[in-house]
Amino acid sequence: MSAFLDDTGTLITVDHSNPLPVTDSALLAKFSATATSDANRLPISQMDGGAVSGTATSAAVLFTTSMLNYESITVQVTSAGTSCTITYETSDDNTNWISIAGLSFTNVGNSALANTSSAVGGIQFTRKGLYFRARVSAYGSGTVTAIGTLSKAPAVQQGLIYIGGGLSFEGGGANTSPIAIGLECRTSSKTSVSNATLVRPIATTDGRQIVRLDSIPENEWSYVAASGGITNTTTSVPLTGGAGSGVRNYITSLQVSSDTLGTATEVVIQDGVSGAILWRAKIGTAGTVGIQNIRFHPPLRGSTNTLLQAACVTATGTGSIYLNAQGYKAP
Amino acid sequence: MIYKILVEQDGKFVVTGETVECELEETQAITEALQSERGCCCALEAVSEQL
Repeated sequence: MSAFLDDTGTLITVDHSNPLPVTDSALLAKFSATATSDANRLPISQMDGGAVSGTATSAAVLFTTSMLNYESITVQVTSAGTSCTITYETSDDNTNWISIAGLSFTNVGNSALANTSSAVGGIQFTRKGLYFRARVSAYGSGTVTAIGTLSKAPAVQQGLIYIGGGLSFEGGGANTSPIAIGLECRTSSKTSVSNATLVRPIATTDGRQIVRLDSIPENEWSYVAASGGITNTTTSVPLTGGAGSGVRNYITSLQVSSDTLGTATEVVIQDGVSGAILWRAKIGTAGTVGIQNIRFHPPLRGSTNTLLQAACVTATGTGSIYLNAQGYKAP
Repeated sequence: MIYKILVEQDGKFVVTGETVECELEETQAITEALQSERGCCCALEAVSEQL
């Protein structure tokens, strides 16, 4: 036993078996989980592996749990019922729920995130909102049972990654991290998609890409000679109209044939009503031998939004000339 | 499959008296559409195979 005077002059005795001159109750009042001062409260560790579970035989909530002090939750469906769907949701107010996606236990790095399940199995979710729940959103029959295990460790696993693009915008600089592009091999025609939607290129089964030259079919045009052809006239015939603002007409091929002619003539293709001559040929009085097919490489190219026309420079008197042409519209 | 439509009220899913006919694969899209339309969580509960 020893003693001393405190700052008020009071004699304080100290027992050697309890050297601190304070009582248990005084300690608890000052330093405990319920201490009046936040700064003095003893930190209480939340138990890891807290369990929640639920069973349903109707469309109902299986369980709702607070994620306070937890970073993730695993949910194992031990009984999936028949034709039932379990939806996983999170909320900050425990009233308004938003679907949340997680990764399957069996993920080996290529599983997509899922916000529902309809079979036995397990999914791991990271904490987002304060509350988490699993509910039967579509009920068929049977019993649905799910067990949740709360974890203080964050959910760390890598699933399937969708690359959304965006680093190399059209018209921008080429990026230095190109992504290998796969083609869809086909042994039959594929189903067409709608205008302005994504589509995969196609190839043979050994990877040879199928390429269609020049243009989409919808932007192709063709001119067919009028019945009787061009006879004894220098009046031009329009091959195709103006293609629209900023868009040109291209000619890829042309077929010409003629009878024997009274007078030889040049045949021209003209860029607009009074524009430049893009192509010129001469047909003598003997006419052509059979049908002459001409492929233009590169294609003949008109001005933007300008018609293309063909004409004989000299009226032929007798005999007719037949012109057919094909091309496409493009900028 | 014919499903009863349930909506969440005070944490419980209650029957609305309405039904919808769809395949199991369509139920998720339908519950999401119902949720968007009604502003609360919805669920489907199978009634029978036939009307």
